[in-house]
Amino acid sequence: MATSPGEPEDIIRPILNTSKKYYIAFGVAAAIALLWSAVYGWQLEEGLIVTNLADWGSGGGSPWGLYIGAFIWWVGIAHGGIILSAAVRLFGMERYQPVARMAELLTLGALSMAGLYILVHMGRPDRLVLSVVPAYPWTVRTSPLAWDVTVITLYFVMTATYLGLTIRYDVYHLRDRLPNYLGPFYSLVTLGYSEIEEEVIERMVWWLALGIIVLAPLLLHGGVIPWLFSLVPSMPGWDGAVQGPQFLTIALTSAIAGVIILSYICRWAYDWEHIFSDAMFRGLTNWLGLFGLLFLWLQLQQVINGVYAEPIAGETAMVARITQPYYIFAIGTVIVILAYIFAQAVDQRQFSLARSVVASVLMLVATLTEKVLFVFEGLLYPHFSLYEAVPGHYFPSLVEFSSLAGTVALCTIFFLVILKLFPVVELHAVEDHHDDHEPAHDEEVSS
Amino acid sequence: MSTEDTQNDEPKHPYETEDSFHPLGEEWEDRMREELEDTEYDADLGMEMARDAQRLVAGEISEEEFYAEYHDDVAEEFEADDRPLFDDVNPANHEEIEDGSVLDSLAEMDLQGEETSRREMMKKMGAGAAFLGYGAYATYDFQPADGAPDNVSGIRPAPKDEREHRWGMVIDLQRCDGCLACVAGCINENGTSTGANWMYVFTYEDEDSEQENFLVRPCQHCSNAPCAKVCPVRARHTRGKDGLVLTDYETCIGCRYCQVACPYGVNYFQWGEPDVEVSRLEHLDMRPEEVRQLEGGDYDDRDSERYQALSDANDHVYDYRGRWTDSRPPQGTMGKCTMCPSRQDGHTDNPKGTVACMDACDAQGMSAIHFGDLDDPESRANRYLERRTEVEDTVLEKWEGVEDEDLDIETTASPTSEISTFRLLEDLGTQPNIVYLGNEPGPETEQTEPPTPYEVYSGSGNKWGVEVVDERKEHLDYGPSGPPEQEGEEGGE
Amino acid sequence: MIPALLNAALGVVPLATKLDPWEVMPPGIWLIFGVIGLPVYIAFLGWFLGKPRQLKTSALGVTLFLTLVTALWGGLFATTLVIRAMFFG
Repeated sequence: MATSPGEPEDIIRPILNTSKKYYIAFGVAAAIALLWSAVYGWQLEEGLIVTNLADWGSGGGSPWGLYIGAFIWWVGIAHGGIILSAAVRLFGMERYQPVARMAELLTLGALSMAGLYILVHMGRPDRLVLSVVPAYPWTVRTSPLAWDVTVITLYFVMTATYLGLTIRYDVYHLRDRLPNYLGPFYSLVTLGYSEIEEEVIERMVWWLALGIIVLAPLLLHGGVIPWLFSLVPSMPGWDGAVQGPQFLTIALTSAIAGVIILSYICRWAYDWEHIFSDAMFRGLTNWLGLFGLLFLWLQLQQVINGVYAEPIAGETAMVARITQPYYIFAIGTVIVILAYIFAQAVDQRQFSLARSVVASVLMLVATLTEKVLFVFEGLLYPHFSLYEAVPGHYFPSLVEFSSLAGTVALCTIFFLVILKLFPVVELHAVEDHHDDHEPAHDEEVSS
Repeated sequence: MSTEDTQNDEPKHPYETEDSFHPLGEEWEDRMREELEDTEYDADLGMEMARDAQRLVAGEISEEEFYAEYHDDVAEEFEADDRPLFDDVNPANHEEIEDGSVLDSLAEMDLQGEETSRREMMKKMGAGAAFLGYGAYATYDFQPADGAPDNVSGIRPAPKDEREHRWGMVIDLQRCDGCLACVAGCINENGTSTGANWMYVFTYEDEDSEQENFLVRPCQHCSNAPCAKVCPVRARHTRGKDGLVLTDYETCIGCRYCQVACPYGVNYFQWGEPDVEVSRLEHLDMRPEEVRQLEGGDYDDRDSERYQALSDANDHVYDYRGRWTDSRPPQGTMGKCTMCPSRQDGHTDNPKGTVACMDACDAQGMSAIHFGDLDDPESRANRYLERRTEVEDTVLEKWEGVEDEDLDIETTASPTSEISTFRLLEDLGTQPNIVYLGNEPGPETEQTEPPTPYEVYSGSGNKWGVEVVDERKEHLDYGPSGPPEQEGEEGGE
Repeated sequence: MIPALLNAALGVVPLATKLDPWEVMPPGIWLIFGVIGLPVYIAFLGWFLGKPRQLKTSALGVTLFLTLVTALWGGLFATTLVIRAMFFG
């Protein structure tokens, strides 16, 4: 399984050559994105009535739905960047170095899509900045939504800073092989570059990684996002401090799945088998299993608490959840995926790249389903039990579903553009590699 | 019912029909008459007053006229010393009858043999008020020195000594018969869209009784409002001066977090274009920013330029701060029961201290809703509460209706009282300002078909000709091109 | 002497207080500026106090950070203005 390390030529190939696949991918993504922007335009014109959302309570609907669920899901995927960077920078698992930058880019892409969902979800998106910013000194005291905006901004900016600092080295050292028409861009990113800074930058990004590893998983997805739900007094289905860890495990699961899919596509498109090795994918698959297991474990905590001796409202909400076909589908899917991951961990012959990619796609479907369900199911079983006679119901409209296709397409376009700008694999990853340590890491991950 | 009909042809106010003043027709009127006849008071007088009260609400007669008409009759019928309130009302003094004390008396018709003298009552209240006076809320009303309004959005009312009122309601569920007049009154006042029943009435049955019960559900105007806490833009806020929980339609971004956080489900988002165009609501011909720029005054300052402009226009859209918080929301923003701030700020022809649902309920002869300043022991709400929960050995604590957040007391009045009081979901710490008289719905209750369907008030049943439905979701599912749509032109924005 | 002092000190320590944390400080203040800010403070302190250190490079990092915040919210603001002009004008 020993792989050759890869050469700098490999990592700049996407910038220099444009294949037919690239044009097709770009065309399809652009078409979908355009189509969805037209749909969104229609929503802006007519109002959110084009969704299947409605007022909860006497209205018999759910005011939050797929848009909020998808927002959480994208933020979850955005955690890939920090997991991989942390693994590489802080814990020295250099096997994942080739994929670290792609994961960081996925963070930026996914966070942008999450931000877009905030806009899409709102009744008056045109006021987002003008209403939020002046009120901030007050709203920061009490509004979980204001906290969310703060942490997402910090996460985005810290990750972008991280990338901005790390690509300086690559661009500087590869400059003479990079195309001239992007000259101004390269001059900008390497502004004031000196070789003595390399060591300093190395240390700076270490500090940044340290900051982000605390900020993103613990305070964003294990913090302000679950608090959006668990801090409100209205819905028993959202209650409980378990929401923090629960959200976090789902985020980490989605994130690893996202990284597996993305790196698989790049490996396929650019023949990077030697850079994104099978061993790396096996390691990622094991991490997917570990996070998936935690996800299920925390679901179990909630279910047993809900059905055993919860106050009536909580029990009603939990029974409704576990009898919901979509919930059973989501949890069942995770169980099946875990069965595969366990099997390939015990017996390496069960591993195949295709299986891991399918497992990742299914995992993303499962986490999205769980998230959307969490949002609207919570809203259908309020503490104010009289409303139960007005059974809320919600199924996303085509307008809402189309936003999923639209955001995936936009995220794809983001990557297609980045592929043309700078290497998505760090130069360090092909310069010095530590294949010798791999078996040790392998043990560690799969145990 | 399409709006075109109503636009061409001035809609007839349902109360205008001569034969029956009740929108539901004669049958209802007869039922009401029967109920009145069961009391020892003059049923004809009651019915007549009710009819005229409707005219009063509709603005056809003035309060003075109404008062002059009935003062003597009422005094005679109810014997003046048992009803000291009437003696205190000077017909010439508009301010004093403002709080609906005349209509109030109708409400109390079935309360017989109340012996407590007014003086005694006052004494108790004074002590209660002093005792409770310590009650100070944490307030986030910041007071910028640059001349900006000092009572801009907070999340709780100002401390007791800094606020003017704490508006709230006492709702007597035992008096409610589910006629939904309050629902219609609210729609008439605010022009809300189909299914956005800011005032909503549950009809429910308990597991072990066949009896029909009602729960009247306006916004609870909580003193610790979860909706205001979570708002990321301070559009949803509590007015420090009087505790009203309002939405500034000019800053709301439509994130619906307030709706999600509210445990009472009182919010109704404007998903599509409103059924009633803003030009049809009584208002100034001014844009919101122009109204805000008018020189404004403090709460209750009736000399300011803005107050003059608003009251001249009988405005029903802006509050005293010049903020667009009243009537139905524009597209993409959140609406809910407002407790009629333009009335409380004295801009409209309707008196301060009244709300549309209460007027409609009074006009129906039901008087289940009693709006008033819960800080003021003399407000209609507190007086009503006092009478209904009267017990022999009165204890201070029963004035928890005045302010309870500092007292660790039971909300249910002492066991000797005739009737229990409760606030909805009080455990959640929201400090609601609606006090209910009657039985609290338990966990095993089930909502049933209302005796009066919401649809009764559809079309010609309301001022705007809009459709009225119970469950909004089905209506919304028609989507933007569905049946009840309007021709474009959203003004005011 | 010392035990007596300790005893006296213990006496004034309230064992249970009726404290409304919201009155002392709304949660968002310590949460955002005290807890969520920490990772950012740490990173910045690390840049300026950690070793190896080069002021110019740290300044570059700070500039990048601030530029990105501005670009993010500036871009968002521009987007909302376009939406306003197109749909809410």
